[in-house]
Amino acid sequence: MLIKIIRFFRGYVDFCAKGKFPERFLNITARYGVNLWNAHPIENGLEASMYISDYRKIRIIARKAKIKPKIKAKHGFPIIAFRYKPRIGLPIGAAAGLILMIVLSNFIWSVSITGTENISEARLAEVLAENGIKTGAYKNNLDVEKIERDTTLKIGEIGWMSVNITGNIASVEIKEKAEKPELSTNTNPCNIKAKCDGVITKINAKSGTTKVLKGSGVVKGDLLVSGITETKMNTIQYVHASAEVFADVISEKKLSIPKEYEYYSLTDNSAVRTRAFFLWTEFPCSLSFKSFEYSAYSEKKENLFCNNVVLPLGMKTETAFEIVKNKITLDKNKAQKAFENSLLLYEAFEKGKSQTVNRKMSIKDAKDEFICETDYVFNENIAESVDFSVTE
Amino acid sequence: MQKNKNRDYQKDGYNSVGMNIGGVPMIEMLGNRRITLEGSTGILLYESENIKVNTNKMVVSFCGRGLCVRCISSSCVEIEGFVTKVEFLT
Repeated sequence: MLIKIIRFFRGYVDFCAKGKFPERFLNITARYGVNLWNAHPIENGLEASMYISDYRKIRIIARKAKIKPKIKAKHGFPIIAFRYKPRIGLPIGAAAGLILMIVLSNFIWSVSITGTENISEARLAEVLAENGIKTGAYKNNLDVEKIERDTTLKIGEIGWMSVNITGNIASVEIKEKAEKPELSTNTNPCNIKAKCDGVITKINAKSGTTKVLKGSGVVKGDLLVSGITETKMNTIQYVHASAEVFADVISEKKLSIPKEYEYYSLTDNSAVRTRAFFLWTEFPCSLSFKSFEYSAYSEKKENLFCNNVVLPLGMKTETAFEIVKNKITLDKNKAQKAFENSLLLYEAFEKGKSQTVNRKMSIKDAKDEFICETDYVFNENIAESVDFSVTE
Repeated sequence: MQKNKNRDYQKDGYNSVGMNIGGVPMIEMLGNRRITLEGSTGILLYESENIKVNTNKMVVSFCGRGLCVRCISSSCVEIEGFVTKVEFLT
Protein backbone atom coordinates (compact mmCIF):
# COMPACT_ATOMS: atom_id res chain seq x y z
CA MET A 1 0.00 0.00 0.00
CA LEU A 2 2.80 2.36 0.98
CA ILE A 3 4.66 1.51 -2.20
CA LYS A 4 1.51 2.24 -4.22
CA ILE A 5 1.20 5.65 -2.54
CA ILE A 6 4.87 6.46 -3.21
CA ARG A 7 4.46 5.37 -6.84
CA PHE A 8 1.34 7.52 -7.18
CA PHE A 9 3.05 10.65 -5.89
CA ARG A 10 6.25 10.12 -7.90
CA GLY A 11 4.30 9.21 -11.04
CA TYR A 12 4.98 6.19 -13.22
CA VAL A 13 4.54 4.96 -16.78
CA ASP A 14 3.48 1.65 -18.28
CA PHE A 15 5.58 1.08 -21.36
CA CYS A 16 6.61 -1.54 -23.85
CA ALA A 17 10.20 -1.86 -25.05
CA LYS A 18 10.56 -3.51 -28.44
CA GLY A 19 13.71 -4.62 -30.21
CA LYS A 20 15.68 -7.69 -31.19
CA PHE A 21 17.02 -8.23 -27.70
CA PRO A 22 14.60 -6.99 -25.05
CA GLU A 23 16.67 -8.58 -22.30
CA ARG A 24 19.29 -5.93 -23.04
CA PHE A 25 16.83 -3.39 -21.77
CA LEU A 26 16.60 -5.23 -18.47
CA ASN A 27 20.37 -5.26 -18.19
CA ILE A 28 20.53 -1.52 -18.88
CA THR A 29 18.01 -0.75 -16.17
CA ALA A 30 19.90 -2.99 -13.75
CA ARG A 31 23.17 -1.28 -14.59
CA TYR A 32 21.75 2.19 -14.02
CA GLY A 33 20.01 1.16 -10.79
CA VAL A 34 16.55 1.85 -12.20
CA ASN A 35 13.60 0.34 -10.41
CA LEU A 36 11.40 -1.71 -12.73
CA TRP A 37 8.24 -3.64 -11.96
CA ASN A 38 5.46 -5.61 -13.67
CA ALA A 39 7.91 -6.75 -16.34
CA HIS A 40 6.20 -9.19 -18.71
CA PRO A 41 7.77 -10.61 -21.84
CA ILE A 42 5.81 -10.05 -25.06
CA GLU A 43 6.64 -10.84 -28.65
CA ASN A 44 9.91 -9.08 -29.56
CA GLY A 45 9.99 -7.14 -26.37
CA LEU A 46 8.64 -6.65 -22.90
CA GLU A 47 6.11 -4.63 -21.00
CA ALA A 48 6.91 -3.02 -17.66
CA SER A 49 6.34 -0.05 -15.39
CA MET A 50 8.85 2.55 -14.25
CA TYR A 51 8.99 5.91 -12.48
CA ILE A 52 8.66 8.86 -14.86
CA SER A 53 12.02 10.32 -13.76
CA ASP A 54 13.75 6.97 -14.42
CA TYR A 55 12.03 6.60 -17.78
CA ARG A 56 13.41 9.97 -18.95
CA LYS A 57 16.88 8.88 -17.89
CA ILE A 58 16.75 5.43 -19.49
CA ARG A 59 15.02 6.36 -22.76
CA ILE A 60 18.08 7.72 -24.60
CA ILE A 61 20.36 4.90 -23.47
CA ALA A 62 17.80 2.30 -24.49
CA ARG A 63 17.60 3.76 -27.99
CA LYS A 64 21.36 3.45 -28.28
CA ALA A 65 20.94 -0.25 -27.46
CA LYS A 66 18.47 -0.45 -30.38
CA ILE A 67 15.45 -0.88 -28.18
CA LYS A 68 12.45 1.37 -28.68
CA PRO A 69 10.57 2.09 -25.51
CA LYS A 70 7.01 3.35 -25.99
CA ILE A 71 4.71 4.68 -23.30
CA LYS A 72 1.36 2.88 -23.04
CA ALA A 73 -0.11 4.73 -20.08
CA LYS A 74 0.84 7.39 -17.56
CA HIS A 75 -0.23 7.34 -13.95
CA GLY A 76 0.24 9.37 -10.75
CA PHE A 77 -0.03 12.83 -9.32
CA PRO A 78 2.49 14.62 -11.63
CA ILE A 79 0.44 13.45 -14.63
CA ILE A 80 -2.82 14.73 -13.12
CA ALA A 81 -1.16 18.02 -12.16
CA PHE A 82 0.19 18.39 -15.70
CA ARG A 83 -3.21 17.54 -17.21
CA TYR A 84 -4.91 20.27 -15.18
CA LYS A 85 -2.15 22.84 -15.66
CA PRO A 86 -4.29 25.00 -18.00
CA ARG A 87 -7.06 24.95 -15.36
CA ILE A 88 -4.90 26.56 -12.70
CA GLY A 89 -7.96 28.09 -11.08
CA LEU A 90 -9.17 24.66 -10.06
CA PRO A 91 -6.33 23.81 -7.66
CA ILE A 92 -6.17 27.41 -6.49
CA GLY A 93 -9.89 27.29 -5.73
CA ALA A 94 -9.49 23.97 -3.96
CA ALA A 95 -6.60 25.33 -1.89
CA ALA A 96 -8.53 28.52 -1.11
CA GLY A 97 -11.54 26.43 -0.09
CA LEU A 98 -9.38 24.32 2.17
CA ILE A 99 -7.79 27.38 3.77
CA LEU A 100 -11.20 28.99 4.19
CA MET A 101 -12.51 25.83 5.83
CA ILE A 102 -9.55 25.71 8.23
CA VAL A 103 -9.87 29.40 9.07
CA LEU A 104 -13.64 29.34 9.52
CA SER A 105 -13.49 26.27 11.73
CA ASN A 106 -11.78 28.46 14.34
CA PHE A 107 -14.81 30.68 14.81
CA ILE A 108 -18.21 30.26 16.44
CA TRP A 109 -20.91 30.05 13.80
CA SER A 110 -23.96 30.08 16.00
CA VAL A 111 -25.02 30.17 19.64
CA SER A 112 -27.93 28.05 20.80
CA ILE A 113 -29.52 28.62 24.20
CA THR A 114 -31.69 26.04 25.93
CA GLY A 115 -33.35 25.79 29.31
CA THR A 116 -34.66 29.33 29.70
CA GLU A 117 -38.07 29.70 31.31
CA ASN A 118 -38.20 33.09 33.00
CA ILE A 119 -34.84 34.52 31.93
CA SER A 120 -34.93 36.51 28.69
CA GLU A 121 -32.93 34.79 25.96
CA ALA A 122 -32.00 38.18 24.49
CA ARG A 123 -30.55 39.30 27.84
CA LEU A 124 -28.66 36.05 28.24
CA ALA A 125 -27.31 36.34 24.68
CA GLU A 126 -26.21 39.91 25.45
CA VAL A 127 -24.33 38.87 28.61
CA LEU A 128 -22.76 35.92 26.78
CA ALA A 129 -21.66 38.27 23.99
CA GLU A 130 -20.04 40.56 26.59
CA ASN A 131 -18.13 37.56 27.87
CA GLY A 132 -17.06 36.43 24.40
CA ILE A 133 -19.66 33.87 23.29
CA LYS A 134 -21.12 35.35 20.13
CA THR A 135 -21.31 34.58 16.43
CA GLY A 136 -17.93 35.20 14.83
CA ALA A 137 -15.91 34.93 18.05
CA TYR A 138 -12.52 33.20 17.85
CA LYS A 139 -13.22 30.03 19.77
CA ASN A 140 -9.67 28.97 20.65
CA ASN A 141 -9.19 31.84 23.10
CA LEU A 142 -12.39 31.27 25.05
CA ASP A 143 -12.13 30.34 28.69
CA VAL A 144 -15.40 28.48 29.03
CA GLU A 145 -15.24 28.04 32.80
CA LYS A 146 -14.67 31.76 33.36
CA ILE A 147 -17.52 32.62 30.99
CA GLU A 148 -19.86 30.27 32.86
CA ARG A 149 -18.82 31.79 36.20
CA ASP A 150 -19.14 35.41 35.05
CA THR A 151 -22.50 34.85 33.38
CA THR A 152 -23.90 33.08 36.43
CA LEU A 153 -22.75 35.96 38.63
CA LYS A 154 -24.18 38.59 36.29
CA ILE A 155 -27.57 36.92 35.93
CA GLY A 156 -28.58 35.94 39.43
CA GLU A 157 -31.51 33.80 38.31
CA ILE A 158 -29.21 31.18 36.79
CA GLY A 159 -28.73 28.22 39.06
CA TRP A 160 -26.44 26.19 36.79
CA MET A 161 -25.10 26.69 33.32
CA SER A 162 -22.87 24.87 30.87
CA VAL A 163 -21.24 26.17 27.71
CA ASN A 164 -20.28 23.45 25.23
CA ILE A 165 -18.38 24.40 22.11
CA THR A 166 -18.87 21.54 19.67
CA GLY A 167 -17.29 22.20 16.32
CA ASN A 168 -18.50 25.67 15.42
CA ILE A 169 -21.62 25.70 17.53
CA ALA A 170 -21.72 27.03 21.08
CA SER A 171 -24.53 25.32 22.99
CA VAL A 172 -25.49 27.09 26.18
CA GLU A 173 -27.57 25.05 28.57
CA ILE A 174 -28.95 26.68 31.68
CA LYS A 175 -31.04 25.68 34.66
CA GLU A 176 -32.84 28.44 36.46
CA LYS A 177 -32.81 28.78 40.24
CA ALA A 178 -35.83 27.35 42.02
CA GLU A 179 -37.53 30.07 44.07
CA LYS A 180 -37.50 29.62 47.80
CA PRO A 181 -41.00 29.03 49.16
CA GLU A 182 -42.04 31.58 51.77
CA LEU A 183 -42.23 29.85 55.08
CA SER A 184 -43.82 31.53 58.04
CA THR A 185 -41.51 30.92 60.90
CA ASN A 186 -42.87 33.69 63.06
CA THR A 187 -44.54 32.16 66.12
CA ASN A 188 -44.47 35.25 68.35
CA PRO A 189 -47.81 36.01 70.01
CA CYS A 190 -49.73 38.60 68.05
CA ASN A 191 -53.17 40.11 67.55
CA ILE A 192 -55.05 40.72 64.33
CA LYS A 193 -56.13 44.32 63.98
CA ALA A 194 -57.99 46.25 61.29
CA LYS A 195 -55.73 48.10 58.89
CA CYS A 196 -58.58 50.35 57.72
CA ASP A 197 -62.25 51.25 58.44
CA GLY A 198 -64.96 48.94 57.14
CA VAL A 199 -67.93 46.64 57.72
CA ILE A 200 -67.06 42.98 58.33
CA THR A 201 -68.48 40.57 55.78
CA LYS A 202 -66.51 37.35 56.38
CA ILE A 203 -64.13 36.00 59.04
CA ASN A 204 -61.76 33.05 58.56
CA ALA A 205 -59.92 32.66 61.86
CA LYS A 206 -57.30 29.92 62.05
CA SER A 207 -55.97 30.66 65.53
CA GLY A 208 -56.83 33.17 68.24
CA THR A 209 -60.09 34.42 69.68
CA THR A 210 -62.43 36.31 67.32
CA LYS A 211 -63.56 39.61 68.85
CA VAL A 212 -65.85 40.87 66.06
CA LEU A 213 -68.89 39.50 64.28
CA LYS A 214 -70.06 39.55 60.68
CA GLY A 215 -71.79 42.91 60.05
CA SER A 216 -69.78 44.75 62.71
CA GLY A 217 -68.35 48.11 61.79
CA VAL A 218 -64.68 48.56 62.65
CA VAL A 219 -62.27 51.45 62.51
CA LYS A 220 -58.55 51.32 61.81
CA GLY A 221 -56.66 49.69 64.68
CA ASP A 222 -59.65 47.83 66.18
CA LEU A 223 -58.87 44.38 67.56
CA LEU A 224 -60.35 41.75 65.30
CA VAL A 225 -58.79 38.50 66.51
CA SER A 226 -57.01 38.33 69.85
CA GLY A 227 -53.81 36.38 70.44
CA ILE A 228 -54.81 35.75 74.08
CA THR A 229 -56.86 32.61 74.50
CA GLU A 230 -58.22 30.82 77.53
CA THR A 231 -57.41 27.14 78.07
CA LYS A 232 -59.66 24.47 79.54
CA MET A 233 -57.77 24.87 82.82
CA ASN A 234 -58.88 28.55 82.95
CA THR A 235 -55.34 29.74 82.32
CA ILE A 236 -54.25 32.27 79.71
CA GLN A 237 -52.34 31.22 76.62
CA TYR A 238 -50.62 33.55 74.19
CA VAL A 239 -50.86 32.46 70.57
CA HIS A 240 -49.85 33.70 67.16
CA ALA A 241 -53.25 34.80 65.86
CA SER A 242 -53.93 34.07 62.23
CA ALA A 243 -57.07 35.07 60.35
CA GLU A 244 -58.50 36.57 57.19
CA VAL A 245 -61.11 39.24 57.88
CA PHE A 246 -62.95 40.57 54.85
CA ALA A 247 -64.77 43.88 55.05
CA ASP A 248 -66.44 46.39 52.77
CA VAL A 249 -64.09 49.33 52.68
CA ILE A 250 -64.86 52.75 51.30
CA SER A 251 -62.07 54.44 49.34
CA GLU A 252 -61.63 57.33 46.96
CA LYS A 253 -59.62 57.64 43.78
CA LYS A 254 -58.91 60.97 42.15
CA LEU A 255 -57.67 61.16 38.55
CA SER A 256 -57.03 64.09 36.25
CA ILE A 257 -56.37 64.42 32.56
CA PRO A 258 -55.44 67.61 30.62
CA LYS A 259 -57.88 68.85 28.00
CA GLU A 260 -55.14 69.14 25.43
CA TYR A 261 -52.07 66.94 25.28
CA GLU A 262 -49.59 65.49 22.82
CA TYR A 263 -48.55 61.92 22.26
CA TYR A 264 -46.52 59.89 19.77
CA SER A 265 -48.11 57.15 17.66
CA LEU A 266 -47.06 54.78 14.88
CA THR A 267 -48.29 55.34 11.36
CA ASP A 268 -48.62 52.86 8.50
CA ASN A 269 -45.44 54.20 6.85
CA SER A 270 -42.43 51.95 7.15
CA ALA A 271 -39.07 51.45 5.45
CA VAL A 272 -37.63 47.95 5.08
CA ARG A 273 -33.90 47.41 4.69
CA THR A 274 -32.37 43.97 4.21
CA ARG A 275 -28.76 43.05 4.76
CA ALA A 276 -26.92 39.80 4.21
CA PHE A 277 -24.51 38.86 6.94
CA PHE A 278 -21.59 36.47 7.13
CA LEU A 279 -20.02 36.00 10.55
CA TRP A 280 -19.37 39.59 11.67
CA THR A 281 -19.62 41.27 8.27
CA GLU A 282 -22.78 42.68 6.72
CA PHE A 283 -23.62 43.67 3.15
CA PRO A 284 -26.65 45.79 2.17
CA CYS A 285 -29.04 43.95 -0.14
CA SER A 286 -31.76 46.52 -0.68
CA LEU A 287 -32.02 50.22 -1.28
CA SER A 288 -34.41 52.34 0.71
CA PHE A 289 -34.22 56.11 0.65
CA LYS A 290 -37.11 56.67 3.01
CA SER A 291 -36.22 58.39 6.25
CA PHE A 292 -38.40 59.58 9.06
CA GLU A 293 -37.94 62.31 11.65
CA TYR A 294 -39.01 59.98 14.43
CA SER A 295 -39.02 56.25 14.00
CA ALA A 296 -39.02 52.96 15.86
CA TYR A 297 -36.98 50.01 14.67
CA SER A 298 -37.49 46.31 14.66
CA GLU A 299 -34.89 43.80 13.52
CA LYS A 300 -35.43 40.23 12.32
CA LYS A 301 -32.51 37.87 11.86
CA GLU A 302 -32.79 34.68 9.82
CA ASN A 303 -29.89 32.25 9.65
CA LEU A 304 -29.35 29.68 6.93
CA PHE A 305 -29.71 26.08 8.01
CA CYS A 306 -27.98 23.05 6.49
CA ASN A 307 -28.71 19.60 7.91
CA ASN A 308 -30.04 21.18 11.13
CA VAL A 309 -26.78 23.10 11.52
CA VAL A 310 -27.07 26.86 11.82
CA LEU A 311 -24.69 28.48 9.36
CA PRO A 312 -23.07 31.85 10.11
CA LEU A 313 -24.77 33.49 7.14
CA GLY A 314 -28.26 34.73 6.55
CA MET A 315 -30.40 37.82 6.20
CA LYS A 316 -31.21 40.66 8.57
CA THR A 317 -34.37 42.64 7.94
CA GLU A 318 -34.62 46.01 9.62
CA THR A 319 -37.96 47.77 9.56
CA ALA A 320 -38.29 51.43 10.52
CA PHE A 321 -41.80 52.51 11.50
CA GLU A 322 -42.67 56.18 11.33
CA ILE A 323 -43.66 57.87 14.56
CA VAL A 324 -45.68 61.07 14.48
CA LYS A 325 -46.65 63.55 17.14
CA ASN A 326 -50.41 63.82 17.66
CA LYS A 327 -52.23 66.63 19.42
CA ILE A 328 -55.44 65.59 21.16
CA THR A 329 -58.23 67.81 22.42
CA LEU A 330 -60.59 66.04 24.78
CA ASP A 331 -64.27 66.64 25.33
CA LYS A 332 -66.16 65.32 28.33
CA ASN A 333 -67.25 62.04 26.66
CA LYS A 334 -63.73 61.21 25.54
CA ALA A 335 -62.41 62.10 28.97
CA GLN A 336 -64.97 59.79 30.57
CA LYS A 337 -63.79 56.92 28.38
CA ALA A 338 -60.16 57.64 29.23
CA PHE A 339 -61.02 57.76 32.96
CA GLU A 340 -62.94 54.48 32.72
CA ASN A 341 -59.94 52.82 31.15
CA SER A 342 -57.62 54.23 33.79
CA LEU A 343 -59.94 53.03 36.57
CA LEU A 344 -60.08 49.54 35.08
CA LEU A 345 -56.30 49.47 35.13
CA TYR A 346 -56.31 50.74 38.74
CA GLU A 347 -58.76 47.97 39.79
CA ALA A 348 -56.83 45.29 37.95
CA PHE A 349 -53.31 46.15 39.09
CA GLU A 350 -53.46 48.20 42.29
CA LYS A 351 -56.51 46.51 43.80
CA GLY A 352 -56.01 43.08 42.27
CA LYS A 353 -56.74 41.22 45.52
CA SER A 354 -59.88 43.22 46.27
CA GLN A 355 -63.33 42.76 44.88
CA THR A 356 -65.12 45.86 43.62
CA VAL A 357 -68.56 46.12 45.29
CA ASN A 358 -69.56 49.58 44.13
CA ARG A 359 -68.09 52.37 42.04
CA LYS A 360 -69.44 55.91 41.65
CA MET A 361 -67.70 58.19 39.21
CA SER A 362 -68.12 61.97 38.93
CA ILE A 363 -66.27 64.07 36.35
CA LYS A 364 -65.62 67.75 36.90
CA ASP A 365 -64.59 70.23 34.24
CA ALA A 366 -61.75 72.39 35.60
CA LYS A 367 -59.88 75.13 33.80
CA ASP A 368 -57.32 73.09 31.81
CA GLU A 369 -58.19 69.59 32.81
CA PHE A 370 -60.90 67.12 33.60
CA ILE A 371 -60.95 65.75 37.14
CA CYS A 372 -62.53 62.43 37.98
CA GLU A 373 -63.43 61.63 41.60
CA THR A 374 -64.48 58.03 42.14
CA ASP A 375 -66.00 56.60 45.31
CA TYR A 376 -65.26 52.90 45.63
CA VAL A 377 -66.51 50.18 47.90
CA PHE A 378 -64.02 47.31 47.88
CA ASN A 379 -64.41 44.01 49.67
CA GLU A 380 -60.92 43.18 50.92
CA ASN A 381 -58.91 41.56 53.65
CA ILE A 382 -58.30 44.13 56.38
CA ALA A 383 -56.48 41.82 58.80
CA GLU A 384 -53.07 43.03 60.00
CA SER A 385 -50.81 41.16 62.42
CA VAL A 386 -49.58 43.25 65.34
CA ASP A 387 -47.11 41.63 67.74
CA PHE A 388 -47.39 42.22 71.43
CA SER A 389 -44.85 41.57 74.13
CA VAL A 390 -45.55 39.40 77.12
CA THR A 391 -43.84 40.21 80.43
CA GLU A 392 -44.33 37.82 83.32
CA MET B 1 43.25 -19.18 16.54
CA GLN B 2 40.02 -20.69 15.20
CA LYS B 3 38.62 -17.17 14.65
CA ASN B 4 41.58 -16.13 12.56
CA LYS B 5 41.17 -19.25 10.44
CA ASN B 6 37.49 -18.36 9.73
CA ARG B 7 38.52 -14.86 8.71
CA ASP B 8 40.96 -16.27 6.18
CA TYR B 9 38.25 -18.46 4.69
CA GLN B 10 35.96 -15.45 4.22
CA LYS B 11 38.74 -13.45 2.56
CA ASP B 12 39.28 -16.21 0.04
CA GLY B 13 35.59 -16.58 -0.79
CA TYR B 14 34.78 -19.39 1.64
CA ASN B 15 31.51 -19.39 3.53
CA SER B 16 30.95 -20.33 7.19
CA VAL B 17 30.79 -24.07 6.38
CA GLY B 18 34.07 -23.87 4.59
CA MET B 19 32.87 -23.96 0.97
CA ASN B 20 34.46 -21.77 -1.64
CA ILE B 21 31.64 -19.55 -3.11
CA GLY B 22 33.73 -17.10 -5.13
CA GLY B 23 31.88 -16.17 -8.36
CA VAL B 24 29.17 -18.79 -7.88
CA PRO B 25 25.58 -17.54 -8.00
CA MET B 26 23.37 -18.03 -4.97
CA ILE B 27 19.91 -19.26 -5.88
CA GLU B 28 17.01 -19.14 -3.45
CA MET B 29 13.77 -20.87 -4.45
CA LEU B 30 10.36 -20.47 -2.92
CA GLY B 31 8.79 -23.70 -4.11
CA ASN B 32 8.75 -23.52 -7.88
CA ARG B 33 6.99 -20.13 -7.94
CA ARG B 34 9.65 -17.64 -7.07
CA ILE B 35 13.42 -17.64 -7.54
CA THR B 36 15.93 -15.13 -6.26
CA LEU B 37 19.30 -15.23 -7.92
CA GLU B 38 22.25 -13.32 -6.48
CA GLY B 39 25.43 -12.85 -8.48
CA SER B 40 23.83 -12.10 -11.84
CA THR B 41 25.79 -10.20 -14.48
CA GLY B 42 22.92 -9.81 -16.96
CA ILE B 43 19.94 -11.44 -18.61
CA LEU B 44 20.66 -13.28 -21.81
CA LEU B 45 17.18 -14.43 -22.77
CA TYR B 46 13.86 -13.11 -21.64
CA GLU B 47 10.79 -15.08 -22.73
CA SER B 48 7.73 -16.19 -20.84
CA GLU B 49 8.81 -19.83 -21.15
CA ASN B 50 12.53 -19.41 -20.67
CA ILE B 51 14.76 -16.95 -18.85
CA LYS B 52 18.52 -17.25 -19.05
CA VAL B 53 20.61 -15.36 -16.50
CA ASN B 54 24.35 -14.92 -16.93
CA THR B 55 26.62 -15.21 -13.92
CA ASN B 56 30.40 -15.15 -13.53
CA LYS B 57 30.97 -18.85 -14.02
CA MET B 58 27.85 -20.21 -15.70
CA VAL B 59 24.54 -19.43 -17.34
CA VAL B 60 21.46 -20.39 -15.34
CA SER B 61 18.41 -21.23 -17.43
CA PHE B 62 14.91 -21.29 -15.94
CA CYS B 63 12.19 -23.00 -17.94
CA GLY B 64 8.50 -22.89 -17.13
CA ARG B 65 5.24 -21.05 -17.83
CA GLY B 66 4.41 -17.37 -17.35
CA LEU B 67 7.90 -16.46 -16.22
CA CYS B 68 8.63 -12.82 -15.60
CA VAL B 69 11.24 -10.70 -13.85
CA ARG B 70 9.67 -9.31 -10.74
CA CYS B 71 12.62 -7.19 -9.71
CA ILE B 72 16.08 -6.60 -11.10
CA SER B 73 19.20 -4.85 -9.81
CA SER B 74 22.86 -4.89 -10.83
CA SER B 75 23.57 -8.22 -9.11
CA CYS B 76 20.20 -9.68 -8.19
CA VAL B 77 17.25 -10.98 -10.20
CA GLU B 78 13.92 -12.13 -8.87
CA ILE B 79 11.92 -14.36 -11.19
CA GLU B 80 8.30 -15.24 -10.72
CA GLY B 81 6.21 -17.85 -12.51
CA PHE B 82 5.72 -21.58 -12.74
CA VAL B 83 9.24 -23.07 -12.96
CA THR B 84 9.50 -26.53 -14.37
CA LYS B 85 13.21 -26.84 -15.03
CA VAL B 86 16.47 -25.23 -13.91
CA GLU B 87 19.57 -25.77 -16.05
CA PHE B 88 23.16 -24.80 -15.43
CA LEU B 89 25.02 -24.19 -18.69
CA THR B 90 28.76 -23.92 -18.43
